[in-house]
Amino acid sequence: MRNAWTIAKREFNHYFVSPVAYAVAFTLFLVLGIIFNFNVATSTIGFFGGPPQVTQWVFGPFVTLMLFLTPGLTMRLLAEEQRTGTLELLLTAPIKEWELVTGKWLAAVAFMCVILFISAIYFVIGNAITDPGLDWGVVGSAYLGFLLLVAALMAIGVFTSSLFANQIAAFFATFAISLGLWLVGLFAPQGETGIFAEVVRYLDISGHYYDNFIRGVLDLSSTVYFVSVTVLFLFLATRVVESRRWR
Amino acid sequence: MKLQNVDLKQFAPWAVIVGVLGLVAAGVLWLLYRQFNAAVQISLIVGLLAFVAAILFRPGAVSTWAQGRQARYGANTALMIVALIGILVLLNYIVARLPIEARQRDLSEGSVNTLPQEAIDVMKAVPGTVRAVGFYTSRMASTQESTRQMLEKFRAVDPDKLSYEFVDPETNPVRAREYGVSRDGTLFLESGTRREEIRIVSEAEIASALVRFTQPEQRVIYFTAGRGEKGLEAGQQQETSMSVVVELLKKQNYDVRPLNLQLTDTVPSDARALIVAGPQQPLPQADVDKIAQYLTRERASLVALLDPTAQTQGANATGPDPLADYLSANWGVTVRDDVVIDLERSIQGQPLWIVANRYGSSPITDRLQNFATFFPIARSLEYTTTVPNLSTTMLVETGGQAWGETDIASLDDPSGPASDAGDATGPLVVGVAVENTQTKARVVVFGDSDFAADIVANEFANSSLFVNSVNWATRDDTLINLTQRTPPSRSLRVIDALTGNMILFVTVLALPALVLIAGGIVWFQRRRHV
Repeated sequence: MRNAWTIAKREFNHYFVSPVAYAVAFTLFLVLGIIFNFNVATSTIGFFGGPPQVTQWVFGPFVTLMLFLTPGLTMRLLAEEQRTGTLELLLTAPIKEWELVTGKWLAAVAFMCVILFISAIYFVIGNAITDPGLDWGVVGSAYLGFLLLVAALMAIGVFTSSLFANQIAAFFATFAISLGLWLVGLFAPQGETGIFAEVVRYLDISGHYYDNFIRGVLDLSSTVYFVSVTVLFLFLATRVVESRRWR
Repeated sequence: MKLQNVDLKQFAPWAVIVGVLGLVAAGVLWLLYRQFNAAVQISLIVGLLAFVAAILFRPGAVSTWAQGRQARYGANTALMIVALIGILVLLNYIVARLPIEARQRDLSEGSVNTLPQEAIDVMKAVPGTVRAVGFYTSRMASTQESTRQMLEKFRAVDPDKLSYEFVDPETNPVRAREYGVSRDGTLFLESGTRREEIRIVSEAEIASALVRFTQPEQRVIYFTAGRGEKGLEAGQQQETSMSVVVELLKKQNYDVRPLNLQLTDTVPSDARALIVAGPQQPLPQADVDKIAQYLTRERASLVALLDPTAQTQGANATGPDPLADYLSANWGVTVRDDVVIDLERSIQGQPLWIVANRYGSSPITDRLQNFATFFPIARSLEYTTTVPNLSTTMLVETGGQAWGETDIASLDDPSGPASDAGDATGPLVVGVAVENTQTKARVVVFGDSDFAADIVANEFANSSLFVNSVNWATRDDTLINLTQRTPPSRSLRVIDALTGNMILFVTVLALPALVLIAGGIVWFQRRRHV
């Protein structure tokens, strides 16, 4: 595990010298800022007015944006190592494949934690302009769910990055798998019953977040779902990296 | 493999392609039809046969591959992946089947996202499965969504027990007719042969309907007849019949029967409630004595809808009203001899047709707080809370500008009616609920019966007000009193221009700019080091 931690620290530091990470953070905060201001402005107008839903204002677009930004943050992780040939070097070192994969994934999640920490500014502002303040239980639940969701998306990104030496290919593959899990619920319209509908609805990654965490509900099955997706794709990535030894 | 000098090996790649196409086609067709029909079966069989053919065409290639190093490692990896997926699927299955109480924690203030324990219990207690069918047009999309969220909460208790669907009555009028839908946004719950109609959907209404599924026996309620009361069947004059609310009561498993008090010595023993719906003549003392006798029984109940005397008997009627006297003397509710006039909250141009949206806190009205009710020609009520053993609750009151006009002749005055010295001033009470805390008998009094008449029952929340009253009177409020969860309402503080600009500056300019500057510095430093 120490190796994983060493790799995570190295990759984490690399994010702060990578223009892609800054581009991702800039886009994220610009879009979130505009949407936040739009919501604040419209909530003060009679026609649109209603109780301020600060958690939805921030995490609604934040989650959707992550669908597009996660591939940007993960596409380099293993694809770059493959392209430059450093992956072979790493594999000759006394390091296990799972440590390499987990270290890369941890770095990406840690970087998102920094972004999440900065995003708290919206809730500080939201709390100041809301009477009698925000429902911090809902905010906490939304943060926790977001972290679980992002961890799962990052694991998908690490997996696809392990498949390709080309970052663009890794980007689109991550986006395609994430979008697939995002939209799979469309195959089972609300109200439709049966095993197929149940399974498809359960696979819908956005449903687990929007139906539970963002509303303030900590759901064990949604937590297990996110953890399962994370474990599965990290495992797949490990197997892909390992397969380089015998392919 | 050779067949009459034709080397079949060359067809193996084509067979693989056909096999893949067959399986893909089977998957797509299944997604389209959602059933394992002939087209899906044929595609699947063709796909599988093509793979078998490919193996037969080049058996050597398969065995060589299978004995190779890659196949061994590959098979090992595939096995591990399948095993992990199996473990994860099993784990998810087990956790998803846990009871909702064990699986979820609601962190929101007031736990607004979770069902009260009573509702969870009744959902579990319902025998068999429940199907919900909601009729919503596209104009009611947001209401449909909130209904869906409510149904999802119930479904989460036991996903196998509740299923639901939404039907647009405009695009599927046949289905709407089958259910007798008369109002956009109506939800039906079905269990076995029973069907419950819910017009104003709330967690409590759904839970109440589920409770009724657990109580299959019919409850008998009697409507008095013989003194010009409103009819139970749909009549030619919608002003004088109550078939709409009677049908709603029947759908809630009530056995609705007429009762002529002149033809009986006592109110039948199976009566869960007695309803006096707008008699055109005062009930004679003998009838009132029978009602009084009935109300001495434990858990007896009366719902009295009493129109203004001027409306039923004319402006100059001065005779006694024994029922009004009884209610005043024994239940602390006095029906005033006036007509409520409200120039502010009434149907335009009709100051006697008052619209009320101020309710007391009662199981009858708690779910109507966001709805208005409409009373065409009502009298005001007065109640006292000092009578021992009586618990009295105001149900509905008018706006503050209303008054109780006692000078009926002034209604014909060309200058219009005006509040005089002897008139009661608003807000005026038009509905009251009383419970005898000792005998548990209940009485609900309204100063109007027309609000429940067919002509306006479907307007506003009128039918719900009447049906809720009967439910409360008959103690079918087992679940009407779901734990009320009212989180503090949140509002945006008034934001002045400076604060607004500061928020804009920090969130749209400063934060992204800081990220951009930090990125720029890093980029610049890296260039310097290169």
